Amino acid sequence: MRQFEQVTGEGSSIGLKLFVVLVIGCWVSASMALEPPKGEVLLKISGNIGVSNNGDEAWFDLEMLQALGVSEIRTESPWTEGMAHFKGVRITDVMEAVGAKGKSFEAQALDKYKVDFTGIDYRKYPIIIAWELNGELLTVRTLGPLWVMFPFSDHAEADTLQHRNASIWQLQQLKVN
Amino acid sequence: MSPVYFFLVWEISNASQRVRTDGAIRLVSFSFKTGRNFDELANSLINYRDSQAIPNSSPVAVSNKDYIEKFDIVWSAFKVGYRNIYRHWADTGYWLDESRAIKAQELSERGLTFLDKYEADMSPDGSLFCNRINEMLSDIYFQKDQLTEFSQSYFELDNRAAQEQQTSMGKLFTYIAVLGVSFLLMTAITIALVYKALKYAVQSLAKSMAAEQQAIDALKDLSESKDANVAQKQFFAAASHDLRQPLHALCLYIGSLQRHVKSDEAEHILKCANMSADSLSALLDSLLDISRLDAGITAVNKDEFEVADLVSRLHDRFLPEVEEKGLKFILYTDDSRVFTDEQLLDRMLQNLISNAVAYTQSGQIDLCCQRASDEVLIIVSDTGHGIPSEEHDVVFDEFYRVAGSARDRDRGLGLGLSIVKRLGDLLEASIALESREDVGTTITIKLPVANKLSLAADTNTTDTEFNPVKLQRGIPDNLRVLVIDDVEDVRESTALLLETKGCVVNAVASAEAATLLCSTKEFEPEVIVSDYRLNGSENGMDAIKSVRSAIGWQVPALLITGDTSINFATRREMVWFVVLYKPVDTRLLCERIALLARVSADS
Repeated sequence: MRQFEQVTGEGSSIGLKLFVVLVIGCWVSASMALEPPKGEVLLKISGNIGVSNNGDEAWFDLEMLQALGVSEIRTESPWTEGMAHFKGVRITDVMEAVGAKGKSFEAQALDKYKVDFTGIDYRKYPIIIAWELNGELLTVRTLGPLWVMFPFSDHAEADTLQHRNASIWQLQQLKVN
Repeated sequence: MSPVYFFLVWEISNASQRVRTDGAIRLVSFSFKTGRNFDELANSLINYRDSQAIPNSSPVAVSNKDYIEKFDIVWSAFKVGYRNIYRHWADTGYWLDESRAIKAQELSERGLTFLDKYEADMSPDGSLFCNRINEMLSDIYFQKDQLTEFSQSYFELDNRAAQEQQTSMGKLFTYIAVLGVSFLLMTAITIALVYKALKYAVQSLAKSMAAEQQAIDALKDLSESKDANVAQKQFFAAASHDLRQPLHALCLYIGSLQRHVKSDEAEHILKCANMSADSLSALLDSLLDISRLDAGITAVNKDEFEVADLVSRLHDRFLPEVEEKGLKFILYTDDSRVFTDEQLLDRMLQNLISNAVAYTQSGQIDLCCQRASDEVLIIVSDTGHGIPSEEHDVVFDEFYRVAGSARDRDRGLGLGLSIVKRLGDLLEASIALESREDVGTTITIKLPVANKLSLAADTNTTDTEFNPVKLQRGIPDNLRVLVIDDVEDVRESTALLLETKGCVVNAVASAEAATLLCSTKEFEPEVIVSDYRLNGSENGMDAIKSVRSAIGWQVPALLITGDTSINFATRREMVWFVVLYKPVDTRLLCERIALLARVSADS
């Protein structure tokens, strides 16, 4: 009896393990399924990420970014006149979408300007990657097509030099580390 | 203090950081960046030109829009970025350097002109000719050079400024650090000093307390030792009774022996023995006087009396002795009265006169009393050795004796003047010494003159008690004398002596026996001689009183005591009453008894 029980127990444990592996595998493959961009690529994410659609990188066009959820920020800034209305996606949503495993990231602009976000808690404020300002899509000439924006007016304490420097325009790449 | 200090450091640190970031680096980095953007645009254009590999002045289709993006970046830099940054500089007040502002403005306008010039060529549908590209490249390089030159010059300038700023900040930091450290150090030192001072204070407090305790202890010791000293002296004074007793007996025996001596030789020996006993008696008197005075138990009974009486008595007493030495003894008196203790003054003068007699070999001794304003002067003057002037200060010390007088050893221990001094202090009399060697010595005692008001009160009793006795008539024959003494030796020797003087003596041992004897009228004494200390708690005064009451009249009485410490303050309550101190000189005893006999006969 004793022996039989042991054998039975072993069998059920193997079954459980198999099931878990299968579930995890399905979940991972599902989350890895990121559609390749159809339109113009606006953002390329590389580094320590779990999801990609172009080699090791995850590329996004405007549609893909909009699909991650749209957030808005109304704020004054040193670079805009009056109360500016930005529309974009939260950085936290983007990081989740690419399965970012690192704690922070580095952002680079078209003109090779770089900002290291190490030392900035990007989860603390609803920071967005904006593509629209006052109802108009951003272009390179209007410091687009993507612009990282902080909610300076809603959070007065967020208006620091460090955050201003981190408000990178003409954003092109994110590198998770 | 320290939070303020750290806040200051933090604030300065922040400020310096801000200035560095806001200032030089922002401007310079923008210029560099724009320069680099121009570079990228140029490279992009070159790539385009090379990839098309087209011959000169032939139009090409645009298939690569990369250079357009680069152009847009430059465009945004000038049109948006520069404007914004310029505004930011203006806002923060950093852009204060006028020449730099003008230069930046110039660069900006030139960039805008460039952008306007090639705007049309940047159409995605348009075409770009090679010569146009070359023209553009030359413009780009010019722009880039301008920007590079500008940024480099200001990079250096700002870097230097930043460097200087940093240096001065560093210095400031150092100063503040030094300040802080020295402040902390000073605080630490102050605390240390305060701590140390406190410790010292505590220590010195403990020390002073210990010292105080020691002082108290010492004071206590001192008072105890003083007490001990007094006790010793009191003991000495009390012991004098026992010292006097045998000497007193000796004197009496010698006195009574005189009658039985027949041979000249034996008489000579007896005379020597008598002299020795006398001088022994005198020495003991002096010693005991001193001890009594030192013990502070000498009672002062001040009274008013005529000095002349006392002085005359002394003159009478010493006259035989003075004449024996072949000296003149001259007496001057007036009727001054003093208020003082007669007995003590008597002793002072006795000492002075006997000194004068002892140290004068030829000439005269003057004894004088006279009034000088409100003082009475009593002067004892001699023509003796004199005292050297350097010794005037010490003559009143104990055991002082004039140099060269060692041969007169039998004259005393040199206590005379120290007794005089002590008595003088006691009577508040001042004593003045005047002396020249080989000329003589004059000692003056100054006493306050008596208050006239108190005169009437006491005069009568004084007069009735002590009439001046100027003539010694001796003891009348068959004088009945009652002797009361519990010590058999003394009682017998006293009786023996008085019998040799022709008295009828009845000697008893106690007051009770005396009273019994007298109340039966078996024996009616004319004079009572009693010892002070009798058996048990009886004393001579009580004995005299009870005998007097038994007989019914105030029989003249003589009290002999060896106890110098007894205060006969009550003496004045009793009439016909004389006190003698042991060892009693037989001559003095006989004198007193003769005196009392006369009183007895008169009454």
